Amino acid sequence: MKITVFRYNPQKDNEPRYEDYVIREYEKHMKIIDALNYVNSEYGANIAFRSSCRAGQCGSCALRANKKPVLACRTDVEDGILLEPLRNFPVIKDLAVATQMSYPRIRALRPFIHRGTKKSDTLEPMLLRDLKRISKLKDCIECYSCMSVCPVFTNTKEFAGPLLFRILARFHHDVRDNLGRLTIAVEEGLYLCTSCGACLVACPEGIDTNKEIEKMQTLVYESSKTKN
Amino acid sequence: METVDDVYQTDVLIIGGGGAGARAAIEAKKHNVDVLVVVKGLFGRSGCTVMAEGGYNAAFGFIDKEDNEQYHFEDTVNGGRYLNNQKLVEILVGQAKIRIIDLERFGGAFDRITPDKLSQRYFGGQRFRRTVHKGDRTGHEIMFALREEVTRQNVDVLEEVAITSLLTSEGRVVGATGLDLIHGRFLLFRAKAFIIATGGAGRIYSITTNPFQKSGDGYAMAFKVGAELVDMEMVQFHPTGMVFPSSSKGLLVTEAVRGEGGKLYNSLGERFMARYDAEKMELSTRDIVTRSIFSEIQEGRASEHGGVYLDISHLPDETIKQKLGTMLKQFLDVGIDIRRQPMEVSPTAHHFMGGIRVNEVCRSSISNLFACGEVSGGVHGANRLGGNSLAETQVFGSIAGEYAAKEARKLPYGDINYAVLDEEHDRLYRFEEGEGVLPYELKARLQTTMWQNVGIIRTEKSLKEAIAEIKEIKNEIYSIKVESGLRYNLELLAAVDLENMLLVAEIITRAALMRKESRGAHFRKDYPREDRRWLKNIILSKINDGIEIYTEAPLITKMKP
Repeated sequence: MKITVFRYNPQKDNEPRYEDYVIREYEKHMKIIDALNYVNSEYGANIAFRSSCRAGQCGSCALRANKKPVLACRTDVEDGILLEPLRNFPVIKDLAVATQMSYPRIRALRPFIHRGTKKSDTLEPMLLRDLKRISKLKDCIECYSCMSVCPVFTNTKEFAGPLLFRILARFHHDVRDNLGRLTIAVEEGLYLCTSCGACLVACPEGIDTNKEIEKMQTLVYESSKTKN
Repeated sequence: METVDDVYQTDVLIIGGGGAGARAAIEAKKHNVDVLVVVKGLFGRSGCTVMAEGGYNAAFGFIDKEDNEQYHFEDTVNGGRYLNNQKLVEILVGQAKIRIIDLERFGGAFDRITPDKLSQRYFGGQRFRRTVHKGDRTGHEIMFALREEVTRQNVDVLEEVAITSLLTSEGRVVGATGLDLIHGRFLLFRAKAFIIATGGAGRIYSITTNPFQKSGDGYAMAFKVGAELVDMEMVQFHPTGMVFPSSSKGLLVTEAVRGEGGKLYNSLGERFMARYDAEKMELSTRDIVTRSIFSEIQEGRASEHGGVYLDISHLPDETIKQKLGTMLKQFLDVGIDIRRQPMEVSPTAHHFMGGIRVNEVCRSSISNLFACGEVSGGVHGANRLGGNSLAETQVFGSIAGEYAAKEARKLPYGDINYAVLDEEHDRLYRFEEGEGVLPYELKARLQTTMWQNVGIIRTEKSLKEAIAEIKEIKNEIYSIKVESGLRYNLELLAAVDLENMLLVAEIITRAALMRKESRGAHFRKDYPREDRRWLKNIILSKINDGIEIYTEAPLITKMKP
């Protein structure tokens, strides 16, 4: 079996290149990270890639396989597979990209619960219904796959990207939060979303950020109507 | 000095960004000091907390009203076979509840049975339903909440920097060196107080639940500057890890499967736990379930791929999806539908009960060096109960944060010995000059010998073999070859990790060799019984270039064996 890997060290190389490697010990359900580890220990290829949990829980290892973002630890390797880094972020080296670029903008969303200063030593009651509203949105493992495929984010940074709208939706739906998340959403380009649904397709957790954005758009529209 | 690419200065330096490190940061920050968290991988995503599935023990008694802190204490010490530091256990059970309420205040939300009552499930070795959870992604929920609070408190976090050593002066820690993977820099950190929260060392074994980063860095760096380690022979092998394909080997199959009613069978279709612990069956303590599964496999009653069967298919599909969604997905990925078919499982290296020896305020034997979470030792004794580790990260993370901040407020910065700094720089760069083997090859050899010789079943002979092999690998370190450059250089990182792993492996093996009895997770085939004379903790510290090893009686407050 052969795999093709994007190679680029911005400190040393003028431009990226692609290299082929042969996997001699293939086993059914071998995952992409196993293939990369194999190549590194067998050939001393020293391909840089990020990984931690190898169980689809940490979101560290997202990359593009045959142009589609996937978690390298949960995706079977196949013959002729093309492995490239996620798009829309600078390459640190090979398959590792600087997703850290997004942190300042995420911090600016004030991604924590805002409420009165009430400090309680007892468990705060929560309706099961309210728990359910945020549960799915908190499944996000922040793999940045959605940020790699979003055509609007690719074209204009006026749109904050699906991950950031997922964060806003998570707080918008939390009954404990009282900061006006919709206003922030508008400032971050809420209306630029074209509802193409690519973020949902790319999400390994099946989170429908697209739908959340549409819900927020509707709410903003309706509240502007009542104001007028 | 010219060897350093950049210098960071802070009051409290926290090494590790999992559950314990993040909780420590939040608490330290409240005490009006500068805090910097340095993480080897991504913050909150390269440790074990985010992978923790089953839950967090807190004796609320929401479901079983009889439950209380005293029972939690007793179950923990009984599970730990009386090696626990009982003062630490008192703190754990006393503060576990308030710390999970903190997590909800930070933004977490755990499963409930009614709006004001959290859901609690059965876990091994516990008399009551005590384990609070969020489906089978409890750690993910905890980490989410902690990261939101860390952002609120505006704590500085530096990702993808591997701390390679601590620097000391006049008996205290004054700095740390780090390898910045993103920018390819060699960094110096100066601080007044230090917290190690680097987690365990699962990666010294070939089969483990742990993420790639868990090479025991914290044990190694603390030991090297003279801190005492305790109970290092106590390595927990989780009973249920995935068996196949080989790429998934060792991945955790949560105890929640058994907590929710999962049953274990051998190839003859027998519920074999009846022979090992007829009363608690599948929910016996982890050490016992692990050895039971191991015996079934050794005695020829293994499943198709060499494990045993774990079956949950009798539960309704919806329940499995809701309570064990991660497991459902994890097995579907490899072609097994756990709603219809049994899983195949076998033991996997999971948790280190031992670690940096700390007192009630998480202080190590060095006054301004603190430790919390898995890297610290003492609270779990010889065997940890499932669900006590997440609680430990929050309870002791909070304490370490508070006391490190207080310590930092009293101290000035210490002087950096630049000669030592240069030595460390040269240590990292020396690999480049070598010629020969890749670090992965030596790593794999170490992992194999540790699994075979210092694993679930140990003997004097196997342990001595391990010592010899470790020595041999150590000698070969000098023949390691790595590509030049610091930026995201996984070969270099593997070489640096390997040195830590070798030291930790040797420490574990030496302690295991000394303990001539079987207790908790430590099983000696040549001394298969628990021996009252061994009701002692083994303590290890550095002496010159060797290991000093001695015993002390465990700290008992309430419960005598």
